[in-house]
Amino acid sequence: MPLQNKVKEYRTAAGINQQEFGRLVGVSRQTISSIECGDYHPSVLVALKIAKILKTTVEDVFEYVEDENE
Amino acid sequence: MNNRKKSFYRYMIITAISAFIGGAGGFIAMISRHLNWNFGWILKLLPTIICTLLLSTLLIIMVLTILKYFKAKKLVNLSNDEDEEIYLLADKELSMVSSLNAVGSVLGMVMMGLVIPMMSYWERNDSSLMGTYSIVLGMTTVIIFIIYIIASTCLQVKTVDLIKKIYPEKKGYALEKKFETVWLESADENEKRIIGEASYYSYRLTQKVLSYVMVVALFIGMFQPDSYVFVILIGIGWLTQTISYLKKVRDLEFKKK
Repeated sequence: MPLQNKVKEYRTAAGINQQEFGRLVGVSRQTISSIECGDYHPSVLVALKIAKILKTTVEDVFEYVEDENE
Repeated sequence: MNNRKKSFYRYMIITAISAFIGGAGGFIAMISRHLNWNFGWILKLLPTIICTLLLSTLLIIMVLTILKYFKAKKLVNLSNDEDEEIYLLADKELSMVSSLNAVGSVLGMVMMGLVIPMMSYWERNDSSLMGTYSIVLGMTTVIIFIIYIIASTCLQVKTVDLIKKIYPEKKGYALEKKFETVWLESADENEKRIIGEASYYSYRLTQKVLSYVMVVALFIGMFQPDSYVFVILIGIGWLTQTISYLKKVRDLEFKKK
């Protein structure tokens, strides 16, 4: 996956569960779970919201990693 | 040989084989009419066989759906905000309940479509064991279908309520007229992406299946000239699917709501 994230680490550190975090971001718990597993790359809007709620920057939470095969 | 050439040759071979099968089918159909071959009995017997299989499948689906629903209900009641695993299991079970319910409803409608012509044929033409079996099967099917539809509707309402319990942001009541629209509006971007990808997959697959079904209908038409109605019905379904998909794509591309 070229986009890696630390949403779960930041979320658990902040003591927020997936259900509550989803409510704060405005998406479902299932979507939060998909983002944390790397199955879904959120839109810029959702990424910004996540960073804001976790009191950090988008670059800290999401990291673009060059794919060596490309 | 590069991929482009390979694909071209494969396409040409498939076209040649299809043309040969079509030609051979037409030729056999012509001969069969001259020799008075009658394939009518196969078409008359098929509804009874298919109906027996569909009824058994529907009963299995009905039992499975109920079992899955109670399993999902148990998991939803057990779920709490701290245990993400139980949520995942409940999601899977609820998804299975909805899928089984949807498949069962379609099977039920197909079954009902076969029952009426099957019963009227055997009632008019045959009082043999096969005829009696078909009439009893037909009546049983109608009763089971009515029970299934009522049970399926109740389960759908209950399943939607369960989903709303673990996804409080979801909106809509399963029996309201605009349920699908309201449900989609309450979906987030990931759910809308999943719906979009699944719809496109379904569109591509249905296009392929409908083309094969149309070929089968054309073949049936060769042997049973009065069965042209199949071609019309499949054509209506195919056109509706193609036009509705393309229209929606154009509307979305050019921002028309």
